[in-house]
Amino acid sequence: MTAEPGLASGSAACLVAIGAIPGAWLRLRIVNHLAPSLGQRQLRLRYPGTPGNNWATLLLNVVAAGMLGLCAALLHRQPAPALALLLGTGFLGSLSSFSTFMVDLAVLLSAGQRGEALLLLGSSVSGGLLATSAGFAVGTMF
Amino acid sequence: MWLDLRELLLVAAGSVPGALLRWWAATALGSTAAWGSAASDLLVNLFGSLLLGILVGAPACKGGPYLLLGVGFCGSLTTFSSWMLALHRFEQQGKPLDGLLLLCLSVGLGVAAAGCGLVLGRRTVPRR
Repeated sequence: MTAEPGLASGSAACLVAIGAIPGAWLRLRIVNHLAPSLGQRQLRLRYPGTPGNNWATLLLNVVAAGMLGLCAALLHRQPAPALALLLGTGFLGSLSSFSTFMVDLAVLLSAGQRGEALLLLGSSVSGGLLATSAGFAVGTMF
Repeated sequence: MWLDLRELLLVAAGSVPGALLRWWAATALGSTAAWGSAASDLLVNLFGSLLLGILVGAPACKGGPYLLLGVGFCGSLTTFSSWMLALHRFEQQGKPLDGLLLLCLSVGLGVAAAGCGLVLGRRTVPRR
């Protein structure tokens, strides 16, 4: 997303940064909070709240995807308005994590749990796409 | 405990450069690349997956450095939601093949990058 012409690139960067902090911190806290109740059958890694908590990460990614779909429909004009930088690029971009998902898949595959890796992949992609479309559809109603 | 100030500061210090790098890549590459910001997001996602793989694989990286680099930096640098939005847009624009290609490239290269990272990270263990 490019910044609004009226918006200096410094303030645009500030908006992205201000959104990113609660996004990343909430991801850690929510995944930590949810992981115990989502039955972590696969190998536990040393870090709670990060790779190894597949289903909690999946849930957060799908929710963030749905919210970004909603944001994209509501804040569609280009260049991106300030709110799109703060919420879309900053907050939701940081709340969802592609790298955690990929490391989860790689860890499952390296442990020989192909079935669970396939299930995680399929449910993340289909859940994410469904949530994005649903969020987008809701956003276009307004 | 929900609010741990040290944890919050470490994650915040990593997430700001992560998100700014992703945004900068989108503004720098997004205007020229054929796929726009979908291409720049793919690049940062792959780089972040490799780096997170290394961090998770490396036994020495835990605690504070992991919160800063892994949770904060890699987590914010990479994005699942923008990837999904890019796939949704390709479908809406009547370019399902571009969407399928983006999906396959992201998953295939992403798992490969994370797997390479895990192997590289595990190699940082000093041999006895």
